[in-house]
Amino acid sequence: MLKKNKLRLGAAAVAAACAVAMAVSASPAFADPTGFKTLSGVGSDTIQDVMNGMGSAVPAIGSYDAVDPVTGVGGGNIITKSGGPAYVRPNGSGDGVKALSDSIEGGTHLWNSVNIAGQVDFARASGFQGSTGTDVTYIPFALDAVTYAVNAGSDFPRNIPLGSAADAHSRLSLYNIYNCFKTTYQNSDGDSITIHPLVPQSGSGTAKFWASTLGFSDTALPSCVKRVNTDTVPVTVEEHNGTSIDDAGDIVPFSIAQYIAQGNHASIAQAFGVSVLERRGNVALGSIGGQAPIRESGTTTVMNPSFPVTRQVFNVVSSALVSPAGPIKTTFVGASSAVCSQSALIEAFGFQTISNCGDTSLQGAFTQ
Amino acid sequence: MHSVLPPTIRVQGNRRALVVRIACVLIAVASLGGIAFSGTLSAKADANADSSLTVSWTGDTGSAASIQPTRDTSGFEYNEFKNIKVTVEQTQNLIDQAVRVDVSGFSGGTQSAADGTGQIWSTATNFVQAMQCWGDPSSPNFRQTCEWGGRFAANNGLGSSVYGDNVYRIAARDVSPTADHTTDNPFVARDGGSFPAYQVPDDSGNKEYPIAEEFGVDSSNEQNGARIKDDGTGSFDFEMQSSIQAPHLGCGSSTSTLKCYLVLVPRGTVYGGHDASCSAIYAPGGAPYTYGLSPAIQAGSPMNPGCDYWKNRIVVPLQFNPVAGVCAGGAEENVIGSQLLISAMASWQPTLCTTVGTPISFNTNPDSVARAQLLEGKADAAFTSYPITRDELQDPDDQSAFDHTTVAYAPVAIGGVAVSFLADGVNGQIDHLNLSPRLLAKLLTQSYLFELPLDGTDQGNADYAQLGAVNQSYTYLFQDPDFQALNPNSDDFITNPSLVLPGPSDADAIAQIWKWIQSDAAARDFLNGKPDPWGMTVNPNYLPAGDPAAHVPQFDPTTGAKLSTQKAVGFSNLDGSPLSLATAPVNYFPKADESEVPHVLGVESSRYDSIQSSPYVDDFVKSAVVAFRANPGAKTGWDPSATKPDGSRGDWVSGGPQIPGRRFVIAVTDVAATLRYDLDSVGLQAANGTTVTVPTPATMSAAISSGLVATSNPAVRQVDPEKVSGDGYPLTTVVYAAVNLSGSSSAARTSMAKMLTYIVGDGQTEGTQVGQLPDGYLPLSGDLQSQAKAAATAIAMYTGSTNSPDDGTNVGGSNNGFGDGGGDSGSGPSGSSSSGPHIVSLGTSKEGMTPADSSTPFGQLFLGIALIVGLVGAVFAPLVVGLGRR
Repeated sequence: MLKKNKLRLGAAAVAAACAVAMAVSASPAFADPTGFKTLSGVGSDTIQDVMNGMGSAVPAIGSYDAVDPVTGVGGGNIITKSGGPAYVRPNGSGDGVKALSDSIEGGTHLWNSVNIAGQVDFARASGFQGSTGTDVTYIPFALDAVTYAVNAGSDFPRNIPLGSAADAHSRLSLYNIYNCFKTTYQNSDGDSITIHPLVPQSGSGTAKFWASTLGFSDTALPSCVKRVNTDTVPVTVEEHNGTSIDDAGDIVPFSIAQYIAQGNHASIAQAFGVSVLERRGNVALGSIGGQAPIRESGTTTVMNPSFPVTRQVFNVVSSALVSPAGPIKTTFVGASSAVCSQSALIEAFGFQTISNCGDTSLQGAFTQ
Repeated sequence: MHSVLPPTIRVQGNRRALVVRIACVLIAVASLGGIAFSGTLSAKADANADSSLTVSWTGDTGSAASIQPTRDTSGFEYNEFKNIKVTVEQTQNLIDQAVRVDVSGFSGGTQSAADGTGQIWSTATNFVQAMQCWGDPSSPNFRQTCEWGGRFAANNGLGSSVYGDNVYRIAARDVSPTADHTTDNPFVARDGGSFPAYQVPDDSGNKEYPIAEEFGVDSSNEQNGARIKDDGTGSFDFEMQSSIQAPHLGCGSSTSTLKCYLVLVPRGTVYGGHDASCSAIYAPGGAPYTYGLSPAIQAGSPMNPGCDYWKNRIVVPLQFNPVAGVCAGGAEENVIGSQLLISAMASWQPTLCTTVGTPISFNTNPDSVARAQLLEGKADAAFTSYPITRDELQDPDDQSAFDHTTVAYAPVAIGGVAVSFLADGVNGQIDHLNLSPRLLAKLLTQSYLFELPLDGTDQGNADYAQLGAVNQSYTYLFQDPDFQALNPNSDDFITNPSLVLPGPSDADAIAQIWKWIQSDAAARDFLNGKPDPWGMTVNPNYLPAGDPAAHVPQFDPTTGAKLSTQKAVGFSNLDGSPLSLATAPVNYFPKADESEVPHVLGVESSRYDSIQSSPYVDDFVKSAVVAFRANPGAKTGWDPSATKPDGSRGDWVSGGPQIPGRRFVIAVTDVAATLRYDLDSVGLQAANGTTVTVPTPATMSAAISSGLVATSNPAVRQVDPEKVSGDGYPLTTVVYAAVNLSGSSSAARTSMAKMLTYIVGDGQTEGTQVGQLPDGYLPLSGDLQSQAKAAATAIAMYTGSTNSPDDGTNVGGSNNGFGDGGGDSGSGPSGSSSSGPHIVSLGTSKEGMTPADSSTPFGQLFLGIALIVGLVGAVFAPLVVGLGRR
C-alpha cells in the first residue's frame, strides 16, 4: 500500500508542478490594478479573482490581491493611492477589514506601523469579520459554498457528514475531524492513516467560516489543526491553494467558487482579460452529507445549488458612506449598483447570484 | 511587615516545619457578596423555606397571575407557547446567587439554522431569554428597568449562538450614533440615571455605549439563549444580583427595595418583526423576513419595541434579602481571615449589627496573615483553620508577641473546600465528574498540554517539549485513560476545562487540598516524577529542584528559536535544598511553568505566561462566580489597538466568556459558593481508596466524625483528609475564630463574645434568611459546639493580662522592650499566667507540642482557650484593616 500511495502522490506532485508552470506562462496581465482607481480594495483571497473581474467591468474598482500576484506568496508592500504610503498587503478577509478600519479611523490606528488613513475604500470579505457594532457595512454581492479538499491520490473518504457536538467521538464527521476527536481513517489496504486537518492562514475568512461552521475556535485552534503543513517542508496553507495538500491525511477547507474559477482560468482570461492563478494542485473536493460540490451544466461546471454549506461574500465599506451619493453608493449599494449588475461575471467566477445583492443592513464594528 | 512576601518557599527552623508562602496582599479586599455592612432586620422574615414559584404562560392562577400580560389567542405564536410553564426554584430571601429555572411545554427543542449570509446560528429557534428588572411590571416602561444590552461588545461570549441583534435593546439600525433615534428603549437605573440604548459620540468623536457604564459583558446577568431539549423542556441557572453586584437594579438596597422581577421571554419559531425596526435579517436567497414567518431564526431583541416578543414575557416576582442599611454608627470591630466564611458572614453580618450593637467588618485574607495580624493587634478576631504557631511567624516582632499573647479559639463553622465544575457536553450539561488525588495533582501541576500557555502561531508540539510524550498525546483531558477510568461518561465531554484557582495568596483551606493529595500514594509518586501507569509524567517545573528530570527547553528571547541548552527548574527551599510537592506543606497554588508564548513574535510586541493564560481569582466566591459565568479571563488574544500600561500600542486581551455549548470550567471554591452558584461538585476519590464523595451534610458529618484530629494546639482540631473514612468528604474543614485576649480592649472582647455567642448559637440554624447558616456549612454540634459556647463565655469573662491601650492595662513587667513603655496603671488585674478562673494554662505554645500537651484530654480543653503564658508585648501598629462599608 505504501508503494501505491507513493506512486499516486508522485503523480500528484508532477501534476501540481505542471499546473503552476501553465499558470505562469498563461498570465499576460498581473492582477493588481495598473495605475490608481477611485476605489481601492484589499482583503479576501476567495473573492480576489471575481473582484479583479469586476475591476475590468467597473472602472472605479481597483482591487489588490491577497497575495503577491507575481510570486503567489503573501506579504510585500502595496501602494493604493497616488502619492500614498507603501503598506503591507492585507492577506485575507480579516486583514482586509482591519486595514479598512485603520484607513477610516486614521490617527493612532496604524496598519503595521503605517498610517494608512484614506488608503482603503473597501475590503473584500468572505464572511462577517467583526463583532457587534455599526462602524462598517457588509454589502453582499454573491453566494459561495465551502467544502473540504483532500489529496486526489489518497483514499481519504470523499463523502463526509458535517456532524455536530452530539456525535460520538468515533464517528467520521467533519466536526469530529476538526475538533481532533477523529484522528485517523482506514485506507483501502486497512492501514490507519493519520488525519492532518489544515486551515488557511490567520486572518483568512475561510478559516473563520470553517471554524464557525464546525464549532471550533479559529483563534485558539484545537491542537491537531494546523496552519502550516509540516509533512515535508513546512508550508503555510494559503486559501484555495491545493499545492500544499501532498499527504494522504491532509484535509483543508476550499471555496467551491474558487475551485470552479481556477478551472475556468483560460475562459476567464479570454472573456474578462483577468488572469486567475490555477493553484488547485492535485486536490479532490469532497461531498458533504451526500451533496456533491459541483455539477456539470452543459459544458460548464457550476456550484451545486443544493450544497449545504454556503456563505455570502461581501464588500465592506464605511457605514458613513453608504447613504451619501458617491462612488461607494453607485458601485456597491443596492440591486442596481455597478457590482450587482454583473450577474454573468459573478457566475463565470463560480459564484451564485443573490436576490439581496447590495443590501446594507449588516453592520459590524471596526476591527483592529 | 507582611505586606508583600516574596513568592518563595521558606524554611522555618527545622526543615519539617517549612511554610510555603507566596506574595500575600496585606488585606485582601472584601469580596463579592460577602462583606457589605448591613442593616438591621427589625423582624425576621417569615419566609417559606421553599419559595419556588411556577408560572404558566397562559391561564396562570398562581400568586403572580396578576402581573402576566394578556395573551392573544390569535397570535402566530399562541399555539407553540400555550403550554409553557416556568418554575423558578427560589424567589425569596435572595442574595447574590444562582437560581435554577426549569422550563417546560415548548413545542420543540433548540435548533440551529443558517441566515441569508450563510452564518450558522446554533441557538436559532426555541430557546428562553431572561433578565432581571426592578420597575413596576404594570407600567408601560417596565422594560426600561431591565438589565439587558450589556453584551454589546466585542468578545461578548455569545459567538454565533443567538442572532446578533438579540444583544441590543433596540434594532441594529438604530444603534449607530448617527441613526434616527425615534425608538429609544433606555435603561433607567434605580440609583439614578437613564442610559440610551444607542451609541453616542464622545468629546473626541469616538462612539460610546452609555449602558456599558452600568453593566457589561463581565457583569451583566442577562441570559441571551437558554437551550431547550427536544422534549420541550430545559433548565438554566440565572444569576440573581443584589444591589451589591448591581446597584443600578438596587435589589435589596433598602427594606423598601427588596422586590424585583425576573422576566423570561420565550422564543419559538415565529418571526415577530414587521420591518427593520425589529431586525434586518434576511432569508437564504436574500428575501427579508416577514411578520409571522416560521420557522424563522429568532432575530431581534426580546425587549425591542419594534418587535413583538416582549408581549410573550413571563414575569416572576423576586424578594431579596436586605444587603445594605445602617448599623448604628460608631467604632467598628474588625474581623479578618478565612475566605471559607465569606458566605456565612454575609448572612450573619446584618444580624450581628443588632445583637452585638457594634458594626462588625469582615475582610478576608490568608489565614496565615490573619494570624500574624491578630498578634499585631490589627484585628479583634481572626477566622482561621489552624492555630498560631511560633514557627510560622516571619517577623521577629510577631514571634516575641506570640510569647506574650493569650489567644482564645472558638469553632465557628464547618465548611469545606470544593472542586466544582460547569461543563457542556454531547448531551447538554454534564453533571458528573470525578477526580482522584492524582488527577487533581496533574491539573494543579500544569501537566496537560492544554494547561500551558499555547499560542497558535507556535507550530508543533516540539515547542512544548517540557511535557512528556504521553502528556502531549492527550489533546483533551478526557483522552487520559486515568480520567476515563474514573469517569464512565468521559465520551460526553467535548472540550478542555479552564482551571480556576484562587490565589496567589495562601489559605489554610488550600492546604487541606494538598494534604488530601499528599495522603495518596499514587499522587505522591506522580509528584515525585514517577510516570502514571499510562506513562504520563509531571510537568518538570513542579519537580523538586535537582531532580534529574527537572529541566525544560529554553528559547531565545529575541528570535524565539529553541536553544540547545536546557534550563534547570524545580522547587527548592530557601536554603536551596529540594522541595517536593509530594511531602512539603503547601498552602497555595503555584503556577510554576514559566513558558512565555508565542516563542516567535509576529505582530505581537510581548509574550504571555501561565498566569495570564490562566489568571488567579481573588477568593473562593469569586472562583464560583467565574465558573458560573464561564469567564476565566485568559488574556491570550492579541489586540493591536489595546494600550499597554506603559502606553505602547498592542496588548493581550481576554477573548470573553466561553461560548454556550462549549463551556468547561473546573474551579477550586468552597461548598457554600458552589451551592450559591449552583455548580456541580467534582466527586473526589478517597486517598488510597476507591470511594468517591461529593460534599453533602452526610459526607461532611462523616468527615468530622472520622477525621478530626488535634493540631499542634489541642484547642484547634482539624480534619485530616488522610484520616477521613470512605464515606466522608475529605476536604471538610473547621473554621475557628481566634481572639487575641491579651491584646484587646474589654469592649472589643465583649463585642467578640457577643458575636460568637450569636454565631455558634442561633447562627447555626440552617436557612436562607438573614442571620442563618447558609447552605454549604454543617451546623456545629457536640464537642465543637460546646467548645465554642464555652469559649464565648470565657472571652467575655477574661480578666487576664492585657496590653490594650484603651484598657490602660499595660500591665507591669513590660520589660521585654516591646511595650510602648507606658506604665499606666490599669484598672484590670495584673497579669498573671492563670488569673482567669476558666482558663487553662497550656504553657508557652510551640510548634510540635510535647506529648503531654497533645494528650491533654479534650474535656479539659473544651473551654477552647489556649492560654499562651507570658508578659505583655504586642506592638500596636496603626489599624490597617480595610473596612467593608460601601
